[in-house]
Amino acid sequence: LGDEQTDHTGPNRFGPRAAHVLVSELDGDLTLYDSQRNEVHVLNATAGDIWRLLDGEHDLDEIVADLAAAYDVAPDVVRPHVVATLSTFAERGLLAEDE
Amino acid sequence: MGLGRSSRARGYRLLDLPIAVRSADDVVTDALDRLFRGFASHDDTVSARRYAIERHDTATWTLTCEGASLARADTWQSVVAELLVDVNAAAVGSFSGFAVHAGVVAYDGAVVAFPADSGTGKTTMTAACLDAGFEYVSDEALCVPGDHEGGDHVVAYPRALLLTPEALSLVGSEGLTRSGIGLGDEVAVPAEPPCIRVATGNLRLAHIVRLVRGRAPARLAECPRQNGLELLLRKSFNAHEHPHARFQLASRLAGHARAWQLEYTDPAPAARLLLGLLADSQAS
Repeated sequence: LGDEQTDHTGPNRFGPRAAHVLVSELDGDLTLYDSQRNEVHVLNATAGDIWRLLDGEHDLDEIVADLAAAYDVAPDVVRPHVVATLSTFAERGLLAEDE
Repeated sequence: MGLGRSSRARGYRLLDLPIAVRSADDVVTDALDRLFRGFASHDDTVSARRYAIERHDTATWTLTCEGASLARADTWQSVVAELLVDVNAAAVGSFSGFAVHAGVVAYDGAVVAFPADSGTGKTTMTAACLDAGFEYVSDEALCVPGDHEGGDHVVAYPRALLLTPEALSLVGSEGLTRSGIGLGDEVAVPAEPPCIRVATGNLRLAHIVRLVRGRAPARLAECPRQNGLELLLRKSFNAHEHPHARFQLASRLAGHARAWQLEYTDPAPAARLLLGLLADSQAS
């Protein structure tokens, strides 16, 4: 899911998903296609869950809370993974801020 | 070397590309008719991409395209090899549908694709599969028109297989070896019977196989379908040209196919393993 050395004090709101990123769901697995960079990203289950929550309505705290509940783990455990994954999405130009 | 025939151009159509090749040499035209077997066409002579192969007084051979020089060599085999390279690039590049760099075979209408880059063994595996009993679709490209509803069928692009002598030896097929035409560093095996049966009819992509070299005995493991989609997109020649439509098409194709990883060292038993899979799945 990414580098856990990420600074967790960043902005609390990520996304939404960039319009040029196309999404396919096969058997519950998400695959992203960046139509501008011609790049493919295969998401694991957790990254897929985070991607689904990037609707522009959920902030970081809400995403962490949702995932913590879904996976039945403490929010503090989930949070660094979520932040790292969101940072990876942003670095790869998959979020709207980068458009 | 006979020069008895007139230099009337031969017409062929490869995917969406009409070509006309002119040569006055019998040996060359006979080789071309074998190499482009199945592509003969008398249409589009005006819009065809025009090639000429000529022998000069100094026993030098030249290949031109639309009047521009493409190659000059000591042997006709070398300029024909250059012709095949240029024609293939033009044919795949001008295909109006979705094209994926892949070896492709079929069994009873079920298409198996090995998306992979050049030099990774896809043509060798394709040849091994033909020797095992599969029908031939292409050693170069999975081609799907995808231009209308129901257009998700696979179009055969049965160009002559291009193998190194070492790869041909690895496959171990006497028939393929016998019918090959030496073209310098490579051997071109025309898509002609009895060794090669070209797949016809309603061809549907059923299996997407990632080839991984280096394991014996061969092992075939099923993967998530998203891995098949990833392969189709990563090895596509032209997904970026119409990203929305091609992504949707690739997703449909992957959604209707099974994805596999084939680890192997020797392509012949690996091909038989694949054939067993297809025979079992068709029977069930």
